[in-house]
Amino acid sequence: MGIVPEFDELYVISDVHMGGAKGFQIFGSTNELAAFIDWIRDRPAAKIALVINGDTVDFLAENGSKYFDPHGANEKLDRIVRDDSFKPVFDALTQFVGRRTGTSPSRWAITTSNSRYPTCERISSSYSPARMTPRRDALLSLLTGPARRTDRERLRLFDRGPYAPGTEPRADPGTRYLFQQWDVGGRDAIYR
Amino acid sequence: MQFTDEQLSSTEKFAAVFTALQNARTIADLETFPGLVERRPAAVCITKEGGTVLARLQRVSLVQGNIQLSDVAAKTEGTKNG
Repeated sequence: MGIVPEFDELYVISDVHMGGAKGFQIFGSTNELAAFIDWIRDRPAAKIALVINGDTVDFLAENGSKYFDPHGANEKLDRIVRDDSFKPVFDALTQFVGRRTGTSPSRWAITTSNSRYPTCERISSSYSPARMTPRRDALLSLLTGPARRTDRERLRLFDRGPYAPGTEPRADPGTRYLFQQWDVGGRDAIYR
Repeated sequence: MQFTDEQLSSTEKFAAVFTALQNARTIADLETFPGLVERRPAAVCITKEGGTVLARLQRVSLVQGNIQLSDVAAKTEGTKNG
């Protein structure tokens, strides 16, 4: 894979907002999303990516939510992942990123960041604690399992900044995840 | 959440919606009002078919355990070889 990855198929979802106690949950399509992820995983195409374009989990829906809660975020995240309403989705994501063709990964989950907070993942609601690296790492660990670095590296972090063909994308050596400026919408192949 | 034209043009009918919004304490409460909350899961699907890149917004539904995709707004714009 080059520094600008290419895929045979790309699927984009966003604003899943998993979180909250029963009756207080915005997300109500567990079966559909889990089955959809399984369906993508089993597609015949060799290399497929699922872009999760922000707001995957919703800390603000949790009991005792705070605007900024670095100490309680992991506990909230653990609860969300274990919640019967959301567990099938996390299980499906784990299976998804674990698929390989031979020894090569064939399914990629891509989470996005934004230009204002270029190193912050938009994996949860705005300004929530998942923007912080420990929360991001915790979530990625949940998705990929422990000590599977190669799998974790497949959850890549992209900036929404414009990608100009012919220029070198910016790589941030400070992060384990590939970090570069790449704007899917700006690619000629999609817009022209 | 969807307000119908009928609800928006009738004081009486909107009053019922307003009351439901006023009294609801949870999302589940809102869903007891018929038709107020809609669930329409969708995904953007970008594929390369025959050298052409296709981007579609597709509704995702689960029918008898099988995923079915249907176009919401088909958009076929691409170039050869991406």
